[in-house]
Amino acid sequence: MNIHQLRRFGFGIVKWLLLAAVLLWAAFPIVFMVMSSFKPPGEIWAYPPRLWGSTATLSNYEEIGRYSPTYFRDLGNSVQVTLGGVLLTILTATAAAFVFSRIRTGWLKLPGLLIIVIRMFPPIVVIIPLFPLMSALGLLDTVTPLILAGTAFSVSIATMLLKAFIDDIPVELEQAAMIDGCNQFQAFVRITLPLIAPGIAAVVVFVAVGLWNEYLFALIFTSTEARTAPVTIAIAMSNPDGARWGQLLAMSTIHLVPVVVLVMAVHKQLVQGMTTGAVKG
Amino acid sequence: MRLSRPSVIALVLLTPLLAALGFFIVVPAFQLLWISLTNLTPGRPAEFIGLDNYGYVLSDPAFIAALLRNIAFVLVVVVLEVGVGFAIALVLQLRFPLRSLWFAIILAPFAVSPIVAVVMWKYMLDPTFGIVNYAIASLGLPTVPWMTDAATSMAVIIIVAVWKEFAFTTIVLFAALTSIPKELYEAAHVDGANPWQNLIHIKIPLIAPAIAIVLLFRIIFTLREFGIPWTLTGGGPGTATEILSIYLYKQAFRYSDFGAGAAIGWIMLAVTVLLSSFLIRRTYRGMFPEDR
Repeated sequence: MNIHQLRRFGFGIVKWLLLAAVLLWAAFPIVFMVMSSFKPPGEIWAYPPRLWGSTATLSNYEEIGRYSPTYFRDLGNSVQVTLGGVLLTILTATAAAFVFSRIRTGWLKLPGLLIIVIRMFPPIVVIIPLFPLMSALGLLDTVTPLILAGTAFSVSIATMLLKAFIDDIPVELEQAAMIDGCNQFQAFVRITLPLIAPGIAAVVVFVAVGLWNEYLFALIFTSTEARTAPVTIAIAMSNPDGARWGQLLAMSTIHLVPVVVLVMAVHKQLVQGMTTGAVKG
Repeated sequence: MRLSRPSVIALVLLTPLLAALGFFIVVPAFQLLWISLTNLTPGRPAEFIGLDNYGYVLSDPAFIAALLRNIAFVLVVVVLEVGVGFAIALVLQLRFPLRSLWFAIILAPFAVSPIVAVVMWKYMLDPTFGIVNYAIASLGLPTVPWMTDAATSMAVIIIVAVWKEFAFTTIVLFAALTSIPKELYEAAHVDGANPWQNLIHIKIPLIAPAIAIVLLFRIIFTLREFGIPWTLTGGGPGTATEILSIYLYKQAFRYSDFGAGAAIGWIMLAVTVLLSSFLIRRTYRGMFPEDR
């Protein structure tokens, strides 16, 4: 081996070590928590800490119902909020993105500016005015305010991302379909939407992650019946009698796995969307 | 006045969007302004009290402390996010097989909810039995009290926040690094530049605009951080980790002082919009390019 080969070999090792460090930082907390959720309850706090238990068991999962009896119902509430919010957001944002991408009318600049400004608004500012309103409408402790407020805080970014994906499709394709007798919107739905399906999937996941993980609105607008899973996990963690960590890790794992899988599945389009949203505007 | 056909179509298709934004964000924002000028508390009619809430909040030492704490928190988190994100982007620039898989893994923390991130880090950072202190002790270094100590509990919040959000910085800076023309490196190679000089004289200057934009974005979105600090420490021990969002929450929903809460809300909103003005103008130009 000459000195150049040696250097290249050394560089190769350093390079892979660096990647290993990066992956360890990103993934270790997740992997460690998921593995620990299958430890026997007595081994959760074993010292020295171990990466996995002596056997893999579901007993932490079986214990969830005992200490957080509403957890699975609360997961159901989270599913309702997420599905309802995603559906409303995507319908609303697709219609709006079509307008901003395909229609040229001077006054559109005003709603355009509105969504750009509102996208920056912190959700915490609306909880004070919305709380008395939801109370007066009898909507506290229902999933309705979570779906509607969640949608309102998702549509701006969803519209901007979808517009960017639509802009990439040449309008000539739609015009060809219009010659065949479609109107402009039909042409958009039949030609352009299928072409941006991967982009729509990424926006769906992006919005779903936000709604599924949402904590603030759920904390303020629900108490018992409509409570969502994140709030229940937080309550279990701050149990005054001490948190039951095996159960907590199991609840967290259930909450985490679906979104992590979804995000990893559409990561290419998500990366594209994040880059568009930030860099290209 | 007759609207043109495209205008009618646009108006119809935009109605759901405008209704959602109007009912749940625009109108509440103005209501918030009104509430901040009253002594509203649930179950009692509000009276107009002018700017008293602002006077009360701005002269409350707890508010000033929360504000300063929030500024320090935001600066540390954002600098770490950009530092960690940039370092990881540089690592990913080295050619690896299966790069798409590594990106998928790096994006995973973005999917994790704040409360679940708190659970996993609290488990790892337990001062006595946690795996992190075990690793530190195995290296012969002094262990860290983490959540049990006022100074280090802020560090825990910072770690969790950085871990959850660094992927955004990595991805944006990676894209910026990838867009640097190869000819520059070739020219630098001819001049005998080493990788360090490439970093200082080519990479950093050329992606400086992207770094600036990422910094601004992350400052704005870190300023409002609530879920992680609230579930991790609730602002404690004492008020050691009480930042603005927690101060607001406590004023409004613990002490039922909606007026004071609203005043803090408006201060936060004003700061956010002010900080965002550059990004807003930039995005607007990107959306309606014919204006340039």
